[in-house]
Amino acid sequence: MIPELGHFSAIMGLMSAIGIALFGFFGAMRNRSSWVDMSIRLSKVQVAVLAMSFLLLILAFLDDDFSVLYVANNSNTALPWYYKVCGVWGAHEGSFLLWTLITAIWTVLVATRARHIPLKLHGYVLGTLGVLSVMFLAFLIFSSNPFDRLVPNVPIQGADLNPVLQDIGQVIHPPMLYIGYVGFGVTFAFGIAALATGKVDSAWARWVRPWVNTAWLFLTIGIVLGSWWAYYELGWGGWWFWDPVENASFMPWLAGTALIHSLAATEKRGAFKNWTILLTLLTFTLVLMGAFLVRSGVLSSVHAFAVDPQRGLILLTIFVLVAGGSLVLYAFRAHTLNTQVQYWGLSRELLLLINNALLVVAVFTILLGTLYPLGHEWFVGGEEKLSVGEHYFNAMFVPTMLLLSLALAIAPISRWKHTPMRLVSNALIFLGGAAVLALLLPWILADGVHLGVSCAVALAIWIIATHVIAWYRQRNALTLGFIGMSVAHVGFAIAVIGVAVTSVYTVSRDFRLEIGDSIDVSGTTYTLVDVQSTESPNFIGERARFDFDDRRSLFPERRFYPIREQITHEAAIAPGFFKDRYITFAGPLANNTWGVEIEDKPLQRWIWFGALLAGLAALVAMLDKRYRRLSQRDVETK
Amino acid sequence: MQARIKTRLLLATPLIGFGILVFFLGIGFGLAKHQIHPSAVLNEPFPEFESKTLFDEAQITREDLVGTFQLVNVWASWCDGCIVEHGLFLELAKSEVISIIGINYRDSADDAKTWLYERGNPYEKIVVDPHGELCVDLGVYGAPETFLVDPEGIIRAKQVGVLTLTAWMEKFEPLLEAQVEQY
Repeated sequence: MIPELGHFSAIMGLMSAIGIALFGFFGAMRNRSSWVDMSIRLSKVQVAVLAMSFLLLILAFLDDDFSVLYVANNSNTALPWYYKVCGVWGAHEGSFLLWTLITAIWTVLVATRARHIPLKLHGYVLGTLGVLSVMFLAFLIFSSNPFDRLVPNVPIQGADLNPVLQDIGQVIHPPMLYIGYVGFGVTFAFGIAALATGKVDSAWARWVRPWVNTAWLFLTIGIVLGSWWAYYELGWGGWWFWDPVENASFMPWLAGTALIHSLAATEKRGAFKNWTILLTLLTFTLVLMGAFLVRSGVLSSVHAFAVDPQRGLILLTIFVLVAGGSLVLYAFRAHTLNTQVQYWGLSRELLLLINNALLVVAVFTILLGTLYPLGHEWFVGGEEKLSVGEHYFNAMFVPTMLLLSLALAIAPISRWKHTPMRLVSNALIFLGGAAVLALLLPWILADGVHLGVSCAVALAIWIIATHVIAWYRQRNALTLGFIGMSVAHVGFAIAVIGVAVTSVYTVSRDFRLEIGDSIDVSGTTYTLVDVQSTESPNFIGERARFDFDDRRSLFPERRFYPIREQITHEAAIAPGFFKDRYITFAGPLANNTWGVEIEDKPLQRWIWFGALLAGLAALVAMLDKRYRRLSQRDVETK
Repeated sequence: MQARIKTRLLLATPLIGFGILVFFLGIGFGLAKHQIHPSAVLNEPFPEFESKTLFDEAQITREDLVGTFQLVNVWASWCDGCIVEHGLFLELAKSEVISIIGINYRDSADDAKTWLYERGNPYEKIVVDPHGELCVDLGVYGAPETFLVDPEGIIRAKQVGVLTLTAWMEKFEPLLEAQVEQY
């Protein structure tokens, strides 16, 4: 009964979504506030019924209701309760239900929190969000129903949750990502509404910016968590793999970053209007493309969901309808938004343009690398599946980011319209200082100077220096917007230092050890003290104990999950501000020896710290008082 | 006037780019659809093996499979999909369209027997493959998988995952009919 109720709630959600779309669009077209109000009310209904549906699926998991196919495939009675809950979004169907719930939450937020924007705009935004909901829910109900029954012949035991997903990082990583993804659906809706009303001005930009920042914040957190999860759960010390699914989340992030910057120019100077609108559309296009790539089985990846051709076809259709439709609208309507804004020399407008150009280049580079295997397969028709490696991505992406850093360092001292040369030359002095520091630091701290790392570190220090100085100069007139901007940029610089240092100065060594052996890695002596077998309701394994630095110990583990016949390596990590010590336990080798990999990873934490700092800065910037609600609709009616 | 056309064309470029993108995604998807289950064993001889049968523990080899059409089904008592397709196998066995051989994959003999006792046994013979060696030779991803083997011992069709009635009617039955005429 519970699964049927859940299914029914999802259908109710679809009905309300149809209502939201119709009342929103027609309310906007006919300028009827009662119709838009109806759309707002339905968005509340939608969020309630979808939350209900989601809770009922959680209940089916907690109940071990294996008559539900999805539960039988992704849960097991031996699983602890919290992993049963995570199992809800551990595979395609349940995670897509979560996706539709998040769409409903965003819709109701826009419906209730954006009442101050003009009626027409609000109606079109809600209508667009309603259409997105309709498509997602129709896809869920007709081809990915998580409530499908497995009757008769109900299994007495389930197939277990994929062991690599049995982890705390996995509990929050997908929801964060989805909140970010769907959040860009809101900015997409604002873009469509702008094309429909033909009005993009500084007020429009001010209304959109908080939504973009929120979506970007969650996407940033999601990506950081994903990277952190891969770092400690997949073992072997990697934190970014240029895996198609990672790329699928990174491309919208880059496009969203470009959007944040282009919106600044649109708000302050009325510049780049067309371009800003295009970015709102492109960001969400990339989100949908990612969903298609991950869920259709077109590209193989560790993250890919189970393969089903029919699902892929429906997702491709949604992608073509939504993204293609929006770009057709853009091609026919965007010329109405054109404006001429003048600026000279190294103005802030030019820097933002450079920023956007580089970020878009980065997006296309990654897009090309991700899709290249498809084209190759088609043109060459090779038997083996080709995959584009890390080498390509690093070779293309790193220089782009260094150029971006260069533009970024001048950003805080730049002015709108025109930047006086005096300010630019002042900033160049700091570049000299930063370069000296960047060459000296590795020489003092490590053995050997690496030119690439020095360049990156010099640029990063320069960025931090110019921002600190700009902050100091503006100390009496600091706005939350400015604080957010500068903290985000400093966060970026910190992440750049982390990436550069960790990728080049990581020491990684493999050993074959007997119990009692000691080895030395980067000045630390590690001793393999013992190996014990471990057991838990759903896995068996071996746990090693390594002692180092006198009293500290690490316990890496190798686990075998019999139900799915899968082996996982639980790395043991001693995190630190300056370096991580990372041990992977490969398990038994011949002659009573054990395979071990020990890594010493300097400044690893800086990457995530910097990224999270930037994410939080987006939150700070959003609280700037110019985004506080001005009830324009009230003004109009008065 | 000309400037206006130029602007319009410029604004249409994202759409054109999108068209190219969709083209590639589409062909990628088309390829994926056909290559989801790359079957290296298709049209190859069924691999040589030597094992025991589940119930009478008699010796069984590849020689015991050739001579007639056989439907070879990889199953296990721990596999959910096997429960789903079991009904179809019982039907096929009852109608005597084809003889069905089971390969009991990475299972304990007791669990397998209990499972069959509870649900009915459609198999003419069951080969035990407790360590999955035969299934490695067959290129099995996991249970269930089903193969159609012709009288000369060549694998003619393969289903990865649950054998649905549709899959049976579309992939297996036509081959069976066509080739029965041929022999």
